[in-house]
Amino acid sequence: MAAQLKGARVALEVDNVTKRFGGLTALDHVSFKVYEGEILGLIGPNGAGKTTMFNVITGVYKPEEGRVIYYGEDITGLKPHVIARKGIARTHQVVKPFNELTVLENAMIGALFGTRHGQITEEEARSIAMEILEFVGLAEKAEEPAKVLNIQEKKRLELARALAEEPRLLLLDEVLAGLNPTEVAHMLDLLRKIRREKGVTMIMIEHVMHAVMNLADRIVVLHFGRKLAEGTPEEVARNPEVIAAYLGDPELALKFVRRLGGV
Amino acid sequence: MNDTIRKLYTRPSALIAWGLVLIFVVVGVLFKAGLVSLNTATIAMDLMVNIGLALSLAIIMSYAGYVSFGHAVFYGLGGFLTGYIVYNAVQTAYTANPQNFNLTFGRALGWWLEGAVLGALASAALAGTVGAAVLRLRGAFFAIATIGLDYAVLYLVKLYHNPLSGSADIPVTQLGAIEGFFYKTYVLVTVFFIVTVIVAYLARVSKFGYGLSAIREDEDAAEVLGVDTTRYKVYAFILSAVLTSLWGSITVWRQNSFGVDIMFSLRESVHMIAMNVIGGLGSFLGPTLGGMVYYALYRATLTKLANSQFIVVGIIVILFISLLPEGLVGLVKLVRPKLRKYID
Repeated sequence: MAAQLKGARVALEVDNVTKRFGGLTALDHVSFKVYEGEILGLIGPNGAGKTTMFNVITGVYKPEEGRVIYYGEDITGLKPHVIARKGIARTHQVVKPFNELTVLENAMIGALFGTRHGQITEEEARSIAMEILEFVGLAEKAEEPAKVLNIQEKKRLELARALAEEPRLLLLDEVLAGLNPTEVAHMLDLLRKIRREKGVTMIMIEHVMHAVMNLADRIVVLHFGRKLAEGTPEEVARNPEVIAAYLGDPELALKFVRRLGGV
Repeated sequence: MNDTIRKLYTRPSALIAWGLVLIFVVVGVLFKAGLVSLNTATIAMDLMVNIGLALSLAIIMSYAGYVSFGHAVFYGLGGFLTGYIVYNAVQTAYTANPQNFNLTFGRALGWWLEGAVLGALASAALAGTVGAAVLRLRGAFFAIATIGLDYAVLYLVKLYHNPLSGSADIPVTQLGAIEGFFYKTYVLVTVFFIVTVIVAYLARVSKFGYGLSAIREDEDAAEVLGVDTTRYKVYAFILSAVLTSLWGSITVWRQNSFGVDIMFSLRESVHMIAMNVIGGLGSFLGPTLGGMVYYALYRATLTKLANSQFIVVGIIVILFISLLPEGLVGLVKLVRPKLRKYID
């Protein structure tokens, strides 16, 4: 896959980004590229700066240094809603459903304010939303208020709302966290389906190692705000520094790699 | 856009509002025909004012989730500027020609319009500048800051405006002497009630309304999803302020006076908030129902309890917040969950 991507366009380029909070440097001159159509895994221990990176990309935080380039356009420091309308959607680690609104309305808001903002009628938004809810398997819950969903369904709703924006780049912040093994398997199927049928470029933050190792084309490892390694899952899993800082047991790391072909 | 306007005559919630409008129109017609008492017509007019005020505040509080305790500032500003302009115009006209001074409804209404428009502009300006700054705050901090705004304007008015021996109150009692004043005012209030219903309903069911709901539920998620939260909040606040200001102008006209401590008082804000709380937040029907029920409560306790009635009203509001936080609309959803989708 990585070989195929050489000719692909650069969807997103993070160039030398630094983000500080007071004395703490959450991101320290981090650079990487994401190619159109690929899934990039973003891994690292807690506090490594992964979610901060998402917040910088989506405009929630403005970096002190560096730039974020999206399809050739410098989007650094733009407001989050402007970046969203350009086609970058995200899910949140701690889900943020619009609780009192119905599941359908949640997804409709994504469609109404997303990339087709201003050029879409309510009826069109409703049918896009319904289609997406079918896609993620929430169609039967369409008329329920979002607050009655269980955690697994709420994670799907986050995904549905983001997909309803019809994004070109999707940022997934731990969509597998808190799910049991069966639910993880279902979610992985869904992510593969998104890649297959929607062709959306994705960056996924994930701690469920076998999942990210299987799904991602390439992986970037963050550690204390710095980029520790970058490469194919296999390269990363064999990297001694990554093993020492994050993966721990070298045997386990290799197990991830061995399972690569299987899933 | 056309889809949104069609909701005005197809959605059940809108039809309920139109039913109410019809009742008020019929009461007015029957009053004119002498078949309905002045007392009944006054109640109908009070109801329109209360629902109108509840809906005005609802746009920022109930739709967008920003509880403004300082909304009396707009009510007072509209009332003050209207009172000021009408009072001065009447005095000027009277001084110019004391012998043949004849105040017609049309002439006075022209002055009123001047005051109402000025009040609305001032309120819009205040909401769009200081309001926009205050809207950066959330929750209790926003509420407290709006109280500050109300008091700041109140004392500014008191400081610079004392037309009659140290009081900033303005009597416009000449209005009441105009022939047919009550009925014509009833028509004016009805027209403005219809305007408020349409504006508040469209603000709820349009794309704008979806954006405000998203802001109420989770502002950060809304922003990341593409909602221009800053602009939407400011627009909602301005719209809410202008409507509130116009109801303030109407109140001064109806009551033939402007009372500075009354109209700018926190109590006016609390009335509006209580109506929204009783009706239920997040919908158009909530404040509509809440306005009616709150007025009924007020009316029922008025004669028996006089000034202590607010003790009872206060207790009822506390009961609603603790036992039925979603208000009357929440009760409907609880008893008949299937009706949920009809509640706009």
